[in-house]
Amino acid sequence: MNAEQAMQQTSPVIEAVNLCKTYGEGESAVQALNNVNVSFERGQFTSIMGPSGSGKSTLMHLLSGLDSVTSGHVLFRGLDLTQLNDVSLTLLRRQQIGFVFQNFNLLPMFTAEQNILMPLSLAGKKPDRDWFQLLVKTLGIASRLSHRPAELSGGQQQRVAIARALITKPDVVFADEPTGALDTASSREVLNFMRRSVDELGRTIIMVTHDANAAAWTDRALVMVDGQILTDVPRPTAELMNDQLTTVRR
Amino acid sequence: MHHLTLPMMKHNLRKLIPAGIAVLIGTMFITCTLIFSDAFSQAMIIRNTLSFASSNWQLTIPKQQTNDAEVSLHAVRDYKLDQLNRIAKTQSVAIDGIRVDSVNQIRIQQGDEGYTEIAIPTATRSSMVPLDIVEGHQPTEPGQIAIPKSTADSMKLHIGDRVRTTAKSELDASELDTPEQDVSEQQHSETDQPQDSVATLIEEPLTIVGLTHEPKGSYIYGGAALVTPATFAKFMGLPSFNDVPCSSVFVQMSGSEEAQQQVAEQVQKQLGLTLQSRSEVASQILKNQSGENDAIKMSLLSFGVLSLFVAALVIGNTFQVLVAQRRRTFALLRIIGAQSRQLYFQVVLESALLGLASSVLGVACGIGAMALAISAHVFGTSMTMHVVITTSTLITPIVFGVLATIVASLSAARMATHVTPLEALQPLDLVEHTQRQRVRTVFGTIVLLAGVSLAIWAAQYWKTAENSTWLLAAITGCVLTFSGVGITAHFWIPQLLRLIGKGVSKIGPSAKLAVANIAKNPRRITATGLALLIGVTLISTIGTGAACAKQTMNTKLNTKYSVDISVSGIPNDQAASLKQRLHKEPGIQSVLAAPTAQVKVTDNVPEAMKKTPHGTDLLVMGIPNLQSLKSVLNVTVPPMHWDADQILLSQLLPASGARIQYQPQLTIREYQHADSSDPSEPALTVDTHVLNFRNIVDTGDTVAFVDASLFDQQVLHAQSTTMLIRTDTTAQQSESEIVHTVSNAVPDIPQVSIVAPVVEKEKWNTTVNQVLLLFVVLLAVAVIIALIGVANTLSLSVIERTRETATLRAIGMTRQQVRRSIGIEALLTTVVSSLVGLMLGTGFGSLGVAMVLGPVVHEFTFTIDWVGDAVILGIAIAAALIASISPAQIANRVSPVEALAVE
Repeated sequence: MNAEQAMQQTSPVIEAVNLCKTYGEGESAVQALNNVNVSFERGQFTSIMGPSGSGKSTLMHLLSGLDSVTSGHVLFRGLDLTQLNDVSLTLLRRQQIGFVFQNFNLLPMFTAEQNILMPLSLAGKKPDRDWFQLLVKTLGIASRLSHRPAELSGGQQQRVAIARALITKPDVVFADEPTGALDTASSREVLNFMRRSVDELGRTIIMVTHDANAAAWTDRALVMVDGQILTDVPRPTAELMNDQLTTVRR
Repeated sequence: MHHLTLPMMKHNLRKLIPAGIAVLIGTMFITCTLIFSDAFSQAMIIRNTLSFASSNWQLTIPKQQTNDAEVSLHAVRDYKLDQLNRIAKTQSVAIDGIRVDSVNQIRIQQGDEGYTEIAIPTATRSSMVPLDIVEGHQPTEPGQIAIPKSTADSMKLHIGDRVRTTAKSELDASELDTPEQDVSEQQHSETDQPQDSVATLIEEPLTIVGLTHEPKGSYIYGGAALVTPATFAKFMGLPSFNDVPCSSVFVQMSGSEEAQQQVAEQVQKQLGLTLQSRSEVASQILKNQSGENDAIKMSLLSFGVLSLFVAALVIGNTFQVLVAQRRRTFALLRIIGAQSRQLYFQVVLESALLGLASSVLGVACGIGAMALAISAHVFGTSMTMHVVITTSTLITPIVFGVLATIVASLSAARMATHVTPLEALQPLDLVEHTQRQRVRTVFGTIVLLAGVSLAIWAAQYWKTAENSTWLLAAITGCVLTFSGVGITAHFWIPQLLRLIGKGVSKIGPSAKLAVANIAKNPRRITATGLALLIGVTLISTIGTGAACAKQTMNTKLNTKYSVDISVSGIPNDQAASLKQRLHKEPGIQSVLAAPTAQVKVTDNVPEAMKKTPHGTDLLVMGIPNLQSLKSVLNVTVPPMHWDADQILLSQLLPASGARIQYQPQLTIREYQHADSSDPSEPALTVDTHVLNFRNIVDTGDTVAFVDASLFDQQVLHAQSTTMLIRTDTTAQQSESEIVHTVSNAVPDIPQVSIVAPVVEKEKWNTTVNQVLLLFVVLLAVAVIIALIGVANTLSLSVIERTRETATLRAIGMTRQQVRRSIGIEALLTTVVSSLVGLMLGTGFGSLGVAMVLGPVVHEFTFTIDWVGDAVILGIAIAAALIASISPAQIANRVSPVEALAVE
């Protein structure tokens, strides 16, 4: 491993610096994020938790460049996202950032395989077949590739979404309540596979969730309230996180 | 990214199909227009060169500086045919045949029965005669005649029969434009009256040697008779055939192209005559005819362009709604890395593919439709038309169709680029950008004002002959106006509805809900309202256009052909019995026998009469009462006081067409002779009334009506009786047959002449009806487009409604109330859009007809088809209510829980 690679391995992949986000104007202004500073390491599975209105989704939107900041910076591998234009941000999302959401991840008129390969189609690039095979095997969806989303279960859909998020080998994957619409069994599946992506495939995942059980699968849990990070918990457990959340809500 | 396009299109196919149909109709229409125009031109050429038969050249004498509208008639000798022969020989061109183009009226009689026929002289080569010989042969010697088969059948004549043939030689010397005056056996008056007082009848017994048939209808009375040149000259009372007046001479030449061309040039140089080939004549005719043809072609093409415009509006609307619906898909694509540019291209590509497919289908349908129409003789049997397809017929509609579709989708495509990735993560509420709306409103208002001013400005020139540019300007004005209305629709439709809603919401909870829904969903309401507006405006434009066109043509025809048939010069003693005989004939509705006298206006003479030679001459006819005049006059006689002191005068001076200004009274006197300065009777002063009637007689006299009592009391003395006849339009006989009947009943005296403008009027009426048929077809097309547009937007609104309705049902609204609320919403939107559409349509339709008919008929009658408008409104409302049932049902069917679940 050379010096650059070494540096890449150790430096944070995403960093928020004095991040502020305000919605609306004047009297009806809402401060969603209030001077947030946090950084995320490569190869980690991090969860961001908090009650509704805590600003966790907003933080994710800003970190991924989906929304613009009011003040502050987002450094993505050293690159300041707040200085980039729409075209560059789009390219970033295409190649270096992956997304998984709670709902509506897949394009209903395409098959699972087409959905997975979509980011590459947009770029006009040919897929890495070996990587594709590895992904679908790991995620256990190899047999469902020719089906449309309507023919897949919730859990299967999410797994296809994860595969899509990973097909370009992105630097980081953002997951917004990925298990929110799933039952316990499917949730377990999805979380398991996300865990394996991090452990076996060396991916970086940042997950926003309100579910303490989901957070238990992660390496690090951040608790947010009222636009600020309250606590930073390493190796979280379900009970620990539940306590945290209850305290915060009081 | 293009491989994404097809699956996305397939997914949306159901929604794209209606838009595709709209484009199909538009391109189909343009194709039909192009084919029709080409076929029509071709048919016109064929028809107009029928008189050529096998000839390939036509010799004419160029018009000198005369003011005559008629071609002045030259005698055969003026065509210097021997010199033509000489010139041809020098170029080694052979003259294979000569046909003199001259016509005369003859009467064929057998016992009591007589038929009036057109007679033409034979040619030196029988194939040059534009008649088929179905039996026997053409006359080859004097004493022979070939008559039309239809006449032979009616009179039960056969080949070999001998018939008495008569002709009038009423030739006025002034009709001949030759230095040598021909003296026929008639009295000449020094002052050169337009009407001769005496004429001779030339009689000749002829043997029928052949039967003719003229299937293409170049001559009236259904065919012509053939006689030898010698007989022809005799019938004209002329010493030789060389003296016969003719309008042209047809020549059949053979030889090389260049040699024939040389002959033509030499003829021009040496003889000062014009020798034109068949194709030259054809193109000249086309140019002269182009006035009429152009009007039809321009109006059809304008409709084609208009229908494409409408299709473009429907497509624009469809794509806007489609893009709005696809926002989440687009947002998702943006999240996973699609550039806005790629989305824009995606939408444009989709619309281009749709446009291409629909246009190609449209062209195919257009060709098929025209082939069907032509083979079914929809355009009448007077001309044989064939489907003419050129490359431009195929390419032009497709190009226009694709362009229209792409342009229509551009605004929707731009909308797609404004989708932010975040929208994929947000619930299904569409964000309105008020700032952009304001810009749109301003832009739209500017366009609207520009359009209105352009239309008004162009409308001033509606009578101008050179008006295809004004027509285009008027159409552009209307298009801009409507575009402006459409662009600003998002502003005025919800506003209007809000205003009306204030009153309506007092009706009940469902109404209140409907009004609230309207206020909450301006975008959806605008889309529906706009679709309705497009449809209703289109239908109303065409409906108004048709009504105005029909009314205008009727007024024009009735004014120009004020009387169906008139027979003048009937001896007074025979008048009563003739009237009785005519009444018995089927096909004759009313007869007015008017004693006629020639008078002069001696006091209060109008200026126009003073300026024209013999302008003060007046032909007065006695009518028993106004009712009897109304029963035969096609022009509406306004109510007026009528007695022996009244006179009804014609508005225009027939000789010059000048409008006559009459004083409230004038004085008339009878004269013994035309130029006698002593009046034979005391003067008669009468009160004047004016009416615009024309063509009562064909002699060019100014006609006036007085009370018949003047004749009864011998104040005026009738020189003859004029019979004014109205035909029965419901009769089975054709107008020509009725005219035949009249000419049979009429005594065989030289002074009697029959004028039958009704036959001309019939021809015009047929043309008008054919054009109106076209309007009906257009109407059907418009209805289809309207329904497509409405169905589209209504169905698209169902999905949005599901959530809303579910929420309301969850909090306690009954199914009945939901249905009613949706119904009221549909009703309100429909009524507002329809009313605005009707107003716009009436304006556009009348302007369009005025611009198209104006230069051709110089008249325009504005009518509002109240019944039609009411029907449109009624149907629109019914359609809206019916169309609202389906969304209501769907909305009611889904359980609230399902609908409210987050996707």
